[in-house]
Amino acid sequence: MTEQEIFDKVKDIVVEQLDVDADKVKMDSDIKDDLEADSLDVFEIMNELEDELDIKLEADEGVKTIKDVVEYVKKEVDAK
Amino acid sequence: MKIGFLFSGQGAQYSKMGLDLYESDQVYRETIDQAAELTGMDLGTIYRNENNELAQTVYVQPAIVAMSLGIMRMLNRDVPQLDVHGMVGLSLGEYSALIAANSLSFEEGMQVLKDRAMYMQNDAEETDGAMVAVMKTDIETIKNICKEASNDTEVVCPANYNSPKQVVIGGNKAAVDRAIKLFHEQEIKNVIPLKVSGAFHTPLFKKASTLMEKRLAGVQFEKTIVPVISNTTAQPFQAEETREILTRQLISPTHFYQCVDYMIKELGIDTVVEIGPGQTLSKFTRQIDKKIERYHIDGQANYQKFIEASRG
Repeated sequence: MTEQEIFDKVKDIVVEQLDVDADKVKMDSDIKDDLEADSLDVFEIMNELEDELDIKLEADEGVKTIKDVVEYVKKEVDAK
Repeated sequence: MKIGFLFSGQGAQYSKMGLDLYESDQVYRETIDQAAELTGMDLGTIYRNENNELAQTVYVQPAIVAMSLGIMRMLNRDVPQLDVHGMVGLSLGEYSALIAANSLSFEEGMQVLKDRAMYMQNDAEETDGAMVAVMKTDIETIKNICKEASNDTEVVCPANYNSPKQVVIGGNKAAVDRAIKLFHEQEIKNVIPLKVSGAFHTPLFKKASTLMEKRLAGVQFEKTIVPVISNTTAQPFQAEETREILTRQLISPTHFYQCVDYMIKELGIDTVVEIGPGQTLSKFTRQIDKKIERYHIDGQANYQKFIEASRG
């Protein structure tokens, strides 16, 4: 998977989970500050990504921005 | 717009909440000042949260309710014609709802809350409570695991039925830990420990509930001006049973999911407006029914946005 493909996937899940407009979700968006997620939301987003991409993620991996999520997911997908 | 009001509960607080309203709106400011006087608490300092005041049950409960009621008074001033069909508060928020619906006076309500917060903080400190959110797991499985993890001295049980996909369980830490282990054994991984100071809405708050019964004995509740749906019974509060329900509320699970469902199916609401810090309850509502329009008000910007929308 390319970074773009992962970003699109993350964006879909974030839009669904947080009920935000798709154009608000950018690589540099801060998940908690800009997208108003709480820690349960982050947990669920990670969970959805795990299920959809068949990888294993930790919710408390210190991800702050969408870019952090994309990079973390890419690392796990590449390692598969 | 057929509106159901939602009132925030404990856990939704954040630093500096409501301060922009305090600075810009006279009615809001007067409400907060009045609440500060009634409770003898320096709410300004609490809202600024420089020393983590909002982490303490004893401060956060009056702070959240005062904020919600300040916003209510602004709404009553600016859009008194709103078509409100029902109200639901989550736990603490039930007091905001009962005050907003004229069942309980603001003056008496704030003083009751001050004591409620103190009783609850004491129980939280004296018991080893813990809570865990369980996502996307059916209720029977959750109940069975709770039963298996409990014994004569340590209990864990469902505490908050928040939405179709989120149930929070709580109890003595040892029992909660056993439950987590059982969930993992059944390959249920969506189990998230919450940062809370106690196991609210479980038998661990027995002492607070007993004290609350005494405290409410002399409190007068009137008929609500619109239905307020109880977290405990998932039915509208009736004036004569309100004391008993609020006593039981402390040790019984909250049924927010069913309360919103009642407002949709029985009261015909198509819009919710969350009043008070955060938007947790709007998120739950979305998980309950996506078609319901959602607003939340906790500052000047989203207040104005709602006012404009409500005027069509």
